[in-house]
Order: sequence, then structure tokens, then C-alpha cells
Amino acid sequence: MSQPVTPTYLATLNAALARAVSAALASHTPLVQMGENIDKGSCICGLTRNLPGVLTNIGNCELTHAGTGFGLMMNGVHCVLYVKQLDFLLLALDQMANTMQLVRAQGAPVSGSFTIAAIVCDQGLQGPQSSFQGLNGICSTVRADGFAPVAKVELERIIAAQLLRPGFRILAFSQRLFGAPVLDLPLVWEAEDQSCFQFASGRDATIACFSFTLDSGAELAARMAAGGRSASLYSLHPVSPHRWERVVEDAARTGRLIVFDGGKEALSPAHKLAAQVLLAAPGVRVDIHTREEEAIDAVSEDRFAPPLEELALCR
Amino acid sequence: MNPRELARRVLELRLWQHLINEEMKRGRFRIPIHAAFGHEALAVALDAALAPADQLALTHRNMAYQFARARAFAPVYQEYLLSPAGACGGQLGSMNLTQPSHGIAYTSSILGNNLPVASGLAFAHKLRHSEAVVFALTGDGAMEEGAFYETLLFARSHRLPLAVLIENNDHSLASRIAERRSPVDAGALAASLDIPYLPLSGNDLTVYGQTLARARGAAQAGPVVLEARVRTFCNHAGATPGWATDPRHISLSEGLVIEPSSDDPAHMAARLLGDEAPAFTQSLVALASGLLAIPLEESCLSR
Repeated sequence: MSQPVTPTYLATLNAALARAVSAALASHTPLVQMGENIDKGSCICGLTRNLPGVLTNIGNCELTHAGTGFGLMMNGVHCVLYVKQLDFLLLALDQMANTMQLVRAQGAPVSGSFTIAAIVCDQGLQGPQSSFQGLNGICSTVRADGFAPVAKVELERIIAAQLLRPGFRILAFSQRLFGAPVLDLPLVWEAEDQSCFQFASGRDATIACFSFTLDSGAELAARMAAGGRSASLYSLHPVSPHRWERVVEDAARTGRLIVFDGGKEALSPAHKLAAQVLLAAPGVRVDIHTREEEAIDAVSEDRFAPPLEELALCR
Repeated sequence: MNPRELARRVLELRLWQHLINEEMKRGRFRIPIHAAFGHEALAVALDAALAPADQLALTHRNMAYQFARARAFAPVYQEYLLSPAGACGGQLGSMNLTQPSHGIAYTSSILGNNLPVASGLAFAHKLRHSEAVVFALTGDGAMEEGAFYETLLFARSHRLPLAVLIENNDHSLASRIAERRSPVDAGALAASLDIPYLPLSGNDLTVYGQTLARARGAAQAGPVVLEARVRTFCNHAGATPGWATDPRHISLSEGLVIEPSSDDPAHMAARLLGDEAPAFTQSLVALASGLLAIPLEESCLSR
């Protein structure tokens, strides 16, 4: 008898992408799927392996790729641009900021869509470059929605709803998690705009996770449970404007907020969330764990490593 | 279209730019506006060459094309006044003004930004097996941006129906090409990418029409580069005269500014009209002030 295969993060991601693309193809929606080496070699580290439909292999000009995506969107076509490293999007900031700003100002709803599906190289050992993890910063700068799904249900729901939704957004995927079993957490609540997913409701703490830290948050919640305490657990995505009322209310109720952010921006959304909680409930104890002080990348493990044991014991 | 009719439109467009220039002198606009004295023949010829489904992706210096496509003064003027009666309800102003119903799909105030977007617009036409072509305007300043090369490469790689029209006026702000960079042979650059290159100069409406039609036809099989030698007669932005050092005087009180040179589209248009030209320009100027929200003072108009 064969052993049951535990689905990995990448396999879950592949399957969700294939389902969304197949649905678009079945509806005869004009669709461009493009990327560098999209159908060659490793197919972007496996991201685009076995994708249905036409895959358009493109050269190395990310600024133009982004502008092309916006042009397709404006003319009613759906476009998904697959990107190997979030770093590459730094070359496309002008298009994401200025072009999207004009689309918004024109006011008319667009029927086409443009989604950038990018891998975040958070697996470490990349060197001083090539491990940019600032999804929150990009989304804040260009006022675009971003999603960094970790849990199985997040991957499936976000990709199904967002991949070909009219308008523009960035979907980011963690390369660190590609080969790991996908985190399969029970869903308690999901925001309509998918900016927030709640996976547990507890009495003693509120754990909020940005930028691929949900696995750390889930581990902390499990350690607390082992010690007889329960925590609420949230995964938050940079969707503008930030609407975190549910998390704020939850933290006010539990009296303790623990925020994780795996990005390295000097201005983390974790600080904004903490400020909102403290304005609403000044007595809440707040612990923020970001990577702000790790701005200089190097050849290292480069992992988000909050003190889970200490946090689990701390009341 | 009849070349004489196009010539009348060139002169009309020159007048409309004069009116905007006079309004800028009066401080009637709160936004930066870039007049395009000297660009009228290209704008009128391109307008005439476009098929209904064709699209334009413009630059910050787009006034001539806005007027040429709208074929009316009021919507553009009202937009500059940020009035709800403007072409985009007063929301986009000048440097980003689009008029989708007239084919102006995108306009960017960022040098080079419109080129990749034009590539996407063209890609969509190709996917739909449409015969539409996208014309992307750019300049000798914007072609210094990486987006220029990238877009040509991308469009050629995917054989997109895109015509990139360089308005080479030898200026980026106040700097001439020789003052800021080494020369670029756009024809040789295009040839290196196996892209057809068509030069334009002299403001002959018949030649411009033929060349643009040829470019439009060629673009259906892949991108085309056109380079037009343009002499811009006005300041970079704002009214002319507007700076203390500005040697040029453009004023309706002296009639339409027309330089006796093939560099000036208005001169070439007047030459085409022959004996009809003086009476036609006088009739234009006589009606001019009535187009403005607040009529010009008598002293601002030639008689």
C-alpha cells in the first residue's frame, strides 16, 4: 500500500494556479501568461510547471513587462506575469506606481486584469543581493494590493479570487516554503477582500503575522496551547487601505498582541498595527518581532527567528 | 483627407495653441501645460492616418494630438481649467490627459513610461487578431530611457503592431542633445533589431500622410520606428514668452506665429493654401477670443 503523500506548499500553489487558469481558459477569457524562462528549465523554480494554456517566454526587461501587463489590462485582457525574484520588481516600480495611478485617476472600471506572481527569495544563502523581501514596502509605495499566502486555504482562496480579478495586484510566494508540507490550518474567518485570514480564536493573546511568518505564528500558538493557554492567530496581507479592526478588537479583548513581520523594511506594518491597537486599548501588552535591523543581507541562513519559547512562556 | 483641408486644420490647431498660450500668460491654469508649437503637422497627419480602432500613447507634450483627435477646442481647454466640462471631467489635467473615445488610451508625464504600456495595448490587439495599430509618441529625451530599448526589443520579439514615433526636437528641457549625451542613430538602432525605420521632416502634409500610412501598414507585421525632426517653437512648459531670457515672442496680437521655414508646419500649411491662407487665418483669429471662458482683451488680438 502506498503511503499518503503530504502536499507541499509548491504543489498546492501549482494546483491552485492551474485551477484558476483552467477556469479562465474555459470561459475563453483572453489571457497572457508570461515570464522569463516560464516554460524552460526549472520553469521558474517550479512555479509555472504544468500550467495550462499558452505560456509566453519573455526576455529580461522587467520594466517593460510590467508596462505591457498594464497595457493588456487597459485593453481588456487578463495578464499574469510570473517573476522569479521580488527584486526584479524594483525595476518596474515606475510602471506599478505611475501607470496604475493614471488607471485609478481615469475612474472607469477596467475589465482586464494584471497580476504579478512573484517568488520571494526568503530561503537564505543568497548573498548581499537577491533576497529582497519588501512586499509590504512595494505595496505601500505603489498603493497596490499584495498577498503573501502561507496556509493551504490562503493559497487556494487568494489565487482563485485574485489571480484574474479585474485590476492590479501582486501575489508573492515564499521560496523557503516551496518544498515544505503546506500549512493546513482550519479557517475561522476570512475578510471579504482577503486582507485578513483568522485561523484560531483564543483568550490569552492575539498573534498577527505579516510576510510569510504564519508558520512561526502557528508554532507559537501551538506552544502556548501546550502550556494551557490559547491565542488568536491571524495572517495579514498588504491590501490598501489597511482594515485591521478585527485584529484590533481581538487584541483589546486578549490584552496581548504579538506581531511578526518577515520583511526587512524600516517601516513595518507591524508598527502601524501595534499603534492602532494601543490607540484603541492602551493597556495591551505588545511584542513586535520584525527584521528591521537585518537590512543588510549576507550569505547566511537569513531566517526569521522570533524567540518562540520565550514568547510562549511570557504572560 | 484632402491636403488643403489638413492644412486648414494645421492652422486651426496653431490658433488653438495660441489661445492656450494667451491663457497661460493670464495665469488661468493651475497645472503645468506644455504647448507644442511646431508639432501641428505631425498631429494632424497622424490623426488623419489612424483607423478607428487604432490607439495613441502620448507624452507630456501632447497638446497638438489632443486637439487634433478631439477636433474641438473646448474639451481640452476645459480640462486644462480642471472643469467638470473637460474631456476627463477635469480629473487628469494636461500631462496625463487621455481621451479613450478618440483613441488616446494613455498619456504619461514620465519619460519613457508610455512605451511599455503601448506595447501592452498592441499586444492586446494582436491577441484579438485586430488590424489596429498603436502609435506611441516619444522624444529625443525619452529615448535615453531604458524603456525605449526594452520596448523595441519586446515589441519586435513578439511582433506587436506598434509604431514608435520619435519627435526629435533636439531638446530635453533646455538642454540640446549635444549638451547632454552622445548622438543616437535611431535608424541604426532600429536596424540592429530588424525594425523598419522611417524618417520624417519638412512638415509636408502629403509626405507625412504617406509615410504614416506606410508605417501603419508595416506595423501590422511588427514594430516600426519613425523619427520626425521637429522644431518646437515654445518654451518647455508654460507661456511663451515666459522667461526673462526667452528670445521668442508669441502673441496673438501679432497674428498667428508663422516662421518662413519648412521647420514651421503653419508656414507649410499656409504655403499649401496659397492665396486662401491670409483670409483663412484672419477668419480664425477673428473667432478666437469667443472660444475662451473670459474673452481676451482687444489688445491681445491682431486686427
